[in-house]
Parts: sequence; C-alpha cells; structure tokens
Amino acid sequence: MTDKIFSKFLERQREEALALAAKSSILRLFPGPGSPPQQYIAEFRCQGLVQERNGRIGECGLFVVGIFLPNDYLRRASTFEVLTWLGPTNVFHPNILGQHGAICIGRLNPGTSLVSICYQVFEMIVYRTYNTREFDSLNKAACSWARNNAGRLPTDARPLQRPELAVPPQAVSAGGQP
Amino acid sequence: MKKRQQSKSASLLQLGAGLIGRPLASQLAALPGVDRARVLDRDVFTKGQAWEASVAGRPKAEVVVQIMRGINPRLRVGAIVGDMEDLPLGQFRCHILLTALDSKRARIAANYAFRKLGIPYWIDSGVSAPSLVRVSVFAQGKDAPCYECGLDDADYASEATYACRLDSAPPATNSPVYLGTLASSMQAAACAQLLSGQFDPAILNRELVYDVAAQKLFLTNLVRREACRLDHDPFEIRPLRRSPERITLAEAFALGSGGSRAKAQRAASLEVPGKQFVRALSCECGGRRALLRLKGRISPPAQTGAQCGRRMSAPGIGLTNTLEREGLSARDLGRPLSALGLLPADVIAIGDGRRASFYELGHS
Repeated sequence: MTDKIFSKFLERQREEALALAAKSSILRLFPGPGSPPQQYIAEFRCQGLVQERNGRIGECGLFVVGIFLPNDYLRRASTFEVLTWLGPTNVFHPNILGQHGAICIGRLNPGTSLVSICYQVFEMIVYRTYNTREFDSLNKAACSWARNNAGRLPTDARPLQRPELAVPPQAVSAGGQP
Repeated sequence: MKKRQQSKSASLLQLGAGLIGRPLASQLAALPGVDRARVLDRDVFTKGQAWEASVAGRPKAEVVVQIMRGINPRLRVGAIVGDMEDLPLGQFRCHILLTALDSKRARIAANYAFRKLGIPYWIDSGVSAPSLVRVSVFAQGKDAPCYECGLDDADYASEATYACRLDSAPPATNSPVYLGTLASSMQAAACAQLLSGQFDPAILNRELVYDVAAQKLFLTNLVRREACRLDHDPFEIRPLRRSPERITLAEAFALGSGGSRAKAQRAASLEVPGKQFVRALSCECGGRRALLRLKGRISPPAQTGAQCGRRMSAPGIGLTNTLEREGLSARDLGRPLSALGLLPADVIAIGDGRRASFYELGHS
C-alpha cells in the first residue's frame, strides 16, 4: 500500500465492517489477502429470490458478493468495479445480472463506507430497495415481476444487525439484581 | 517580483485538445523558452468540430501537433492518442503541465501525476457555460495545496454516475468557443510568465475566475486542506535501465531487496501506482476468461468473448491493485513485465509490508 491516507481508511473499514458482521446473524464477512485488505467476500444468509430452470420464482437463503475497494476508491467509485455478484447465478432481481457477476446498487459515492455498502447490498437482496424502471434495469423480467408482486416484498423482514438487548448486560451479570 | 533564470529548454505536457486545448496548443508553440511539447487526447474531431473536411475523423492530438509544427518548426512536438489514465506515470514528466480537460475525474488523475512526480508547475483551466472561465496555477511546496484540497464530499459525489447500465458514457460539454479561447489565452499567459522566470510568487497556488457576462474577475488563494483525500508525499522514484521486456516479475520483486536476501524475502508485493491488474474477464453471456494484465492495456481480441463476440469486462473481484508474490505461480513469476502490459516509463512500487520502493522502467 503506497498511500497512507487510503491505508488508514481501509483499516477503519475492516474494523467497522467486522464489528457489524459480529453483531449480525445474516452477514458473514471474509477479508481477502493484504494488510489492510482491499477485497472482501460477503455472505448474506437471508431470504431472496432465484429463478429456477423451469422459470418458476423460488426462494434461496444464501447470497454471496465480492467487494473490492480499489486504490482510487476515495476519489472515484464504480458500482461494477466495487461489487461483483458471486452467487447464486440464477438470482432473480432487477439490479443483479447473476451470470455476468454484475450488481448495481445505484449511485455509489467515492469513499462510501464498507458498512454502508453491506447495508445497501442486503437491502437490495431482500427487495427493500430495487429498481422499478425497466430501461436501466439489469434484469427486466425481475423488474416487471417486482412491480406486479409488490405485496410479497420484502422477502426478509429481519434487520441486518441484531437489535440490542433491552436489558443492560451488567444488570444480568449481577445476578439479576439492579 | 520573482526573478529566476529564464528556462531555455522547458518541456510542456498538454492534456486535452478540445475546446480549450486546440487554441492553447497554437499559443504554446509560439512561446519562447519551450524546447519540447507533447499533447495528449484520446478523441477524434467529429464532423461538427472540424473546421475543414480533412480534419474530420482524425485524432485531435495529431491535428493539434501538426498545427504546432507549422507555427514553430524548431519545436520538438509529440502527439499521444490515448486515455490519460492508461499513460505510464513517467510519461507525465515535464516542467509545466497544462490541462484543458472536461471532468473532475480527469483533473484528479492529472493532480495525482503532478504531486507524485513532483512536476514543478501545473496550470489547469476550465470553462462553465454560460460565462465563467477559470485558470488555476499550482506549484510544489511543503504545504502547497493540490487540486483535491479544493474538493469536498459533494464534489466527489457529483462525479458519481448512476451506473446501472454497463455501457454508460459521460455527456459532452457544450460551452461556447469564445470561452475556450479566452481560457486558453489566460492559460498561455500564465505559462509565459512561468517560463520567463520573472513573476510575482503570488500567482502560484491561486485561482483566477473571470465572469464574462458580469465582466468581473475573482481571485482566490488556494490553501492546503488537512482532510485532503490525496497523500501529498511524492514518490522517490529511481530510474531503471531495463525495459519491461527485459525484466521478469521475479526480478522486479527482487528489486525491493537492494541485494539483501533477507529483504528479498519481505519484498512481497508489486503495484503500478494509479493502475489496476485484471485477473479475470467476464461477459454478459456468462463467459469467463482468466488473465493477468494491466487494465487499459488489454488488446481488443483478448477482450472479446469467444462465443458471443461481445466485449468482456473485468468484474471487481477480477481486479487487484497489488500482486502478492505468494499468490503467483512460477510461470507468472517468469513472465516479463511487458507480458503483463507494462510499458517503458511505467512506475512500479515494490513493497515489503512496511515501505515501498519505486522504480521507473526504462526504454532499452
């Protein structure tokens, strides 16, 4: 890493994103090589849609995305460069072209945090956000389907991060005495 | 007034040969003190831009350089037809960098070369329809500002495009010709001052904006911003006498050791600053291809899908900025750097996990 500023940024992204994954029953994050890492594999264990060979729309519980934060990420960001859809390839979503590995979360500002990217990808997989305009949709059939089946969406209502316990942990460790 | 010895052999690099760049090149060719001038532009003159039929369809850089040669036959000139982001970093070396570009993204790339190579001066210009003309003069210095010091989060965000189409392209600029000509004249005047060696230091690191409609001039002193996203430290680059054909990846890794076997073990990574390596290409038809080559240096046939004939692109997971020695096969380590798309004047950074050593590839 030849850039001190970007190196510090990457360190912060790793710390924050791994903290998020630790608090999530949905997200598992695997840092790639290098220190600090620039690539991650993100696994989302949530309900989303796939299209089976017979054309039927079915559910799937595991989605995998590759994340790459290139050296010039603080000044230039392209969704297709930062994100790669890894599987399943038969995912059924207006913003994802599974076979090509393309996923579009829309406008991605340079320097967007890794945590924010994870949230945006998750919300897309579970159909909390999706493209409703076919002219710039990666999967037009999915776009049309989503418009006609809005009542069935989102596909997963859980939050990415587990809700915090209502009772402070120290109260529990003190034998239940306040 | 600053008095320096007049430069007798200054080299200029002009990026952009469009609305501002075309008239700028003609004026630069006539300036005293210039020995060599190069012009870069990736586009060709369209029918609408051409002032005579023979120009239409020809690369802008070549046409503009031909005009410069006609104005000053003694000037050594060169045209570079291509994308500035694909240009080897070492090819940006010059005494004065002049930019006539149409996007922040391109200026950010120019700023990177300006700071990392320690180019003494950079004169940037731009126009904004209907009536604004801007010229900024940057100079090196410990606490000197750079172009990115003037950008905030909103500026970076404005460069982000809504890119849910795989083939999105930036829109064309449509500013009046007189704004471009005015910007080029102001830029040439600043260049003449710097070349003369006699100028008020106050012109450095200053932005001049002229509002043509209101006939008002605005001056702003540019300042360094602590939160600038660019690491201002220049690279300490050592020249290599070997061309990319004559040095293998394994030999390049060994450069970081300085002859020490212990250090050679730590020289574990190789980067080409400002550029990315492509390790895989994919196609909309589902086709995949493995390779190892610099982005922007892949031949069209190698980027064409074997089955569908469409253009393949590199997914993010198929890109990397850094080659880790551990992850490379013996076959890859034995390949010359030219096989990875490296060119003479490319700069490589060999890292040992703690620091990086920089080398510029030679021509022979």
